[in-house]
Amino acid sequence: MNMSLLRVIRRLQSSFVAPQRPTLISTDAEKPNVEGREDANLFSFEYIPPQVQPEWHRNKLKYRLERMDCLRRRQAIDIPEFYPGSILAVTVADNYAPGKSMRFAGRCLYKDGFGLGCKFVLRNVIDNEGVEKMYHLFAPYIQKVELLRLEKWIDTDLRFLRDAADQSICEIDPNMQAESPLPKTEELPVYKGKIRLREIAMWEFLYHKQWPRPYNAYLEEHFIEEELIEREKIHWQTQSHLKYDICKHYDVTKIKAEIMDEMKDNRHRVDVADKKITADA
Amino acid sequence: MEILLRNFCLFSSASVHPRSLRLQRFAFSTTQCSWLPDRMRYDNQTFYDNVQIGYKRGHSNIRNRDRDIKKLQTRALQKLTRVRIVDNSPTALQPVIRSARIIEIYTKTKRHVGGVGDLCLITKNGAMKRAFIVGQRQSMGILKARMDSNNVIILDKDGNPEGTRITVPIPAWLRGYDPKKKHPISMSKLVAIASSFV
Repeated sequence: MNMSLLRVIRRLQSSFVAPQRPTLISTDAEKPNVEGREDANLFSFEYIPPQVQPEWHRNKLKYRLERMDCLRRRQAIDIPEFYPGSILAVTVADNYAPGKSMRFAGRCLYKDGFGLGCKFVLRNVIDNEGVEKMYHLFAPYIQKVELLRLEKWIDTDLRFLRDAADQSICEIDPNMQAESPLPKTEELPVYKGKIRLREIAMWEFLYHKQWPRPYNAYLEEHFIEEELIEREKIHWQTQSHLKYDICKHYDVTKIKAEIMDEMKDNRHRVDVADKKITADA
Repeated sequence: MEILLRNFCLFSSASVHPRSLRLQRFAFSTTQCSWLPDRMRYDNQTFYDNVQIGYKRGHSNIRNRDRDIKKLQTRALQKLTRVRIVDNSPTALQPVIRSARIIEIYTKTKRHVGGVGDLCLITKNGAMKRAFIVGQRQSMGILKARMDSNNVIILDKDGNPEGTRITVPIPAWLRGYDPKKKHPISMSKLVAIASSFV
């Protein structure tokens, strides 16, 4: 009796079929880019046209053509996304250099301009001498742009680093290894540290009197309390209304949406235009 | 009228801290050319997302770009500017009584203003020497390095550098630079002395 039961059980066991492993469909590939960091072919800081008033002075065709030229350049070379505060290295073609190219690494102080006129400045401290170099982003003599470290600071104009007490912020080893940046699906953490400045004399550029005041600089170190109180009073009388001044606001949200729509078609437009040029020639 | 004004002055001075009088007397200096890219105007965007604040240059045409680069005020050294001697010549190594200054600049400009690549006359401790400008605090434009101090190398009457080594980086565009001046300058020897180019 026991043996027959065992045989039945064994037979049932051999007819056991394992269930199929469920296939998991991951949606990581479909995660969109974070709002501030879009694909460069769709949107970038330098595609925003300058604030021109009145409205009929804006020539949208001109802006569109300039953006198409930027697209053409981006197809030829890989220009990474970077913000003022990040560390870059640029190789440039130079006739008189050994190997016909010059490499310069530095921290980006600011990025300014529209379209092909977009310029950025790199600062490095070599042999105790601060050196700054300005480049056009879309220049044809630029052979390579490498991102060594991606940082985003609250301020977009970091020229106060020239007057920093500790100059090791801008001391960058030219043989520095590139650190892999965060993927574009994640938000970049913004650097909120305050940098101490050296004691600035009366006749030099006074950062604490400018509006808007820099966030990433610690300006109160070399002042006495009465000067700070007086400065507060003057600021309240002369400059506190400026951030509510609508004429100085350049709202860019609608323009950004328009530019993203336009750039989707620009790829096709560029191909058509290039075909025409090669056909005519 | 006078009494009223005097009373008004008394009222205003009573609330003002004596130290701030010194602050008020200084006029705020901005460069006259507000369309220069490296202007003194501070250009920060910190308040709201997608809103740019502050003065932005209006009409930026494609034509403007070349015109702005040409019009950049690149030369900034004039008489009595303090200067840093950058090689290891005997004048550089002497102790300083009063900082080295420029006396003459040998250029054809009306205002006698010089930049990198120009010859000048320098005094140090009462002695006059001919010098070649090698670094500048004013920005020279695209691809030309801007140093944090006005640097200078001392030359002989024949145009040969007096020192044997330059510690500080030198702009790389001087390698292909032909100074067409009356006084002779030997660029090849300068380039041979330099330690690093930027």
